[in-house]
Amino acid sequence: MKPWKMSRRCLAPILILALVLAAQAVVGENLLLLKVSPASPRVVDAVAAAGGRVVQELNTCLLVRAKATDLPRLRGAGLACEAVGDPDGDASYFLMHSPLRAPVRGTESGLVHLRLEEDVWLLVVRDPDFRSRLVQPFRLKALWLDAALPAAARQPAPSRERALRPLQDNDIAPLVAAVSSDRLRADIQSLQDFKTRFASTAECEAAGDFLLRRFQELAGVQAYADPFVFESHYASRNIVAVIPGQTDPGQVVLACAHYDSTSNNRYVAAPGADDNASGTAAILEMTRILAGAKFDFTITLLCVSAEEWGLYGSAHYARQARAQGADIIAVVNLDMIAFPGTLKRELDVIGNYNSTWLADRFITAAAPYVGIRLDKVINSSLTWSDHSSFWDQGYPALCGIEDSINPYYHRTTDTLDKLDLGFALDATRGALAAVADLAQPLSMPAPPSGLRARSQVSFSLFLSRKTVYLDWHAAAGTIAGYHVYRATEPHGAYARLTGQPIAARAFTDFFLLPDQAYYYVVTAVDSEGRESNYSQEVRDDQDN
Amino acid sequence: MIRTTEKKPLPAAALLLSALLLPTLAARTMAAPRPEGSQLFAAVSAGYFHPLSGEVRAIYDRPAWPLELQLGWRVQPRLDLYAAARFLQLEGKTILGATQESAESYSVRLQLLALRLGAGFCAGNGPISPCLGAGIQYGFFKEEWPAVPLKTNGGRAGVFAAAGVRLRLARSLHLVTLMDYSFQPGGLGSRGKQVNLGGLSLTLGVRAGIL
Repeated sequence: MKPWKMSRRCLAPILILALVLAAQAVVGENLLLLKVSPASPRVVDAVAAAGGRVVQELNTCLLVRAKATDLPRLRGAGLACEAVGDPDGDASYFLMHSPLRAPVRGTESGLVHLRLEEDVWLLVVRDPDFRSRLVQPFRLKALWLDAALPAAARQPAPSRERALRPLQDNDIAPLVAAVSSDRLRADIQSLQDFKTRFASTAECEAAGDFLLRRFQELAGVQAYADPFVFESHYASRNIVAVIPGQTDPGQVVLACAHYDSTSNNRYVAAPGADDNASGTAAILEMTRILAGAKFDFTITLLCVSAEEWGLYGSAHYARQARAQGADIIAVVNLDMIAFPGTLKRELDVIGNYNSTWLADRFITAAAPYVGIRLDKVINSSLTWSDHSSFWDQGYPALCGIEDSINPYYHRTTDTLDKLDLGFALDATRGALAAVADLAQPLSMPAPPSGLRARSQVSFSLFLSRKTVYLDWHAAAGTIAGYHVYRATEPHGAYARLTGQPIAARAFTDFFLLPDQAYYYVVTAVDSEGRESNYSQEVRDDQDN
Repeated sequence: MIRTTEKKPLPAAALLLSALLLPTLAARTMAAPRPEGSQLFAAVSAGYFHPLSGEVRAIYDRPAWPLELQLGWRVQPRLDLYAAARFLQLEGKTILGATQESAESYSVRLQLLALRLGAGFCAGNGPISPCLGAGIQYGFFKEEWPAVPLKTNGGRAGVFAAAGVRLRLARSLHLVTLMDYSFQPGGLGSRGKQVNLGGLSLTLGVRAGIL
């Protein structure tokens, strides 16, 4: 056989093989956005095992980013999978909440809408001006397909409530009594007077300046503006106020409201009195009152922007917080709290599964101070406000919102004169009570500081046990003794180890399991038997 | 010199020796004339135990005194088969993972009961006879921290071998002194290493014919 003939004979199969491999590689790397149902922890595990990443959780389905080659494995796991998008394409993706059957005008290209659930649509957007084709009322959430929801956003998580002392009404009542409806009215009016607060407009920037000044006027508050860019070329700012915690400043309770607005004439007139000058005014009032008190944990009060564009401000803040490892124990989002309608006078407290404890705690803390009904709603599909950005990062978050349909919603007629400030007053009082409770008001006696833990493992041939040595600084004031508490998970269910308060500022905990981490807090007890809040938590095997 | 490593060629050699010798000796026994004197004997011995494992010695640093009871069958003038129960109690204190001020240590106790099956061979029938022995054992062990209380127990098979001298005191009464080596696995220890509860014992005992 001549050499050139052999080459030709070999070349064809090699070429075919190369083509097949190339095609397989292309198909294999091709990413899909899938609607996977049902939504449950089991399905989340199956998605992870099959190589997919959950990017959005809804009540009945998950949006999953996966390779095309993962699809058979997902289907093999018994999951219903439907391809709804191409994450690598040039389209943007939004969730849209709309009660309408036809929420999009026209049939031109550049905007595809797919129904995911009742009232929940997926928008696949190639037209940057797509908002003009959406029929009011609608609410948007931009989807971040490059991210994966942390496990805590989707899985049952230990309740952080267990790390909190019981409600201490004596400390909260004076704070709640300081809420002023006149101030709420004045602040709503001031925000409404900017004509429009549509994010990216100069008026919205001016509203941000107004909020920043208000925060800066308060003693003990660290105020700053946090700029961000959204949709490639728009800019806006979140306005942040921080009240540092006294005992454990690393733990943060966050209250937020969006200050931007929109309407059917959004660049000219979007007063947004209910949506959401009402929530923003509540944040201003809460900041004023909370700044005058002391708490164990840090309170962050956040006025976010670009909510109406798709929750960009809160997504920026929450993603940054997660990246920095911020320990946000709870988020209370207020969005539309001044239009109760005529019948129900009810504030919905909306959470996801991970936030159930928070909704319960909010209602328990707020109920004594409000004359309105508080209704807990656990629904992962209610993602249309800023709390959802925190859900996506695994933080417990809730949204306080009026349970009524505001006919002036997203209209130029959403003005102060339509609002019920008595309802807004109650909602603000309730939110203030809940945030103060979550941040643990610092009452007498003060908790001990400087808690340290050192551990030592003792071995015999087959057994080992850990001994933990604790010591701490004396608490201020006249202290009768100290109690020591232990938990087996961070901020977990603390069990008291001391029957009676101990006088010593040291404690040894014997015969503990060597492979288990233990977490400790101590409290101070004064001569009248009053017990302080928990000290800062320490872990036994960390260098502290 | 006392070997402190965990290497164990000796048990393997003892097992091999037992496996090779016992069938041969048993066959010879069947063919040989029955020995004079007592066929069955009992023995009791006590002595000093030295653990071979450094980790055992680090925790159980006090002297330990094994006690052994034996019941045997003299199948040939020079060959015995026997069963024995050997009890050993060790006492000591816990050791610490890392040195730290004001660290606590606790009293601990280890008990080992080894049930043994072995064969012994004595060279000659004179008043002083050198002897060799080997066999297998099953060790039941229990470790406890009496103050807690905290305890764990287990059981594992092991091997032993012995060498020494038998001194005849009367027709059916002997004084026996032996150096006894045992390898007794204990499984995974608390620090993640395999534990050997065996060691060297120097024992002194008496052996008496009973039938």
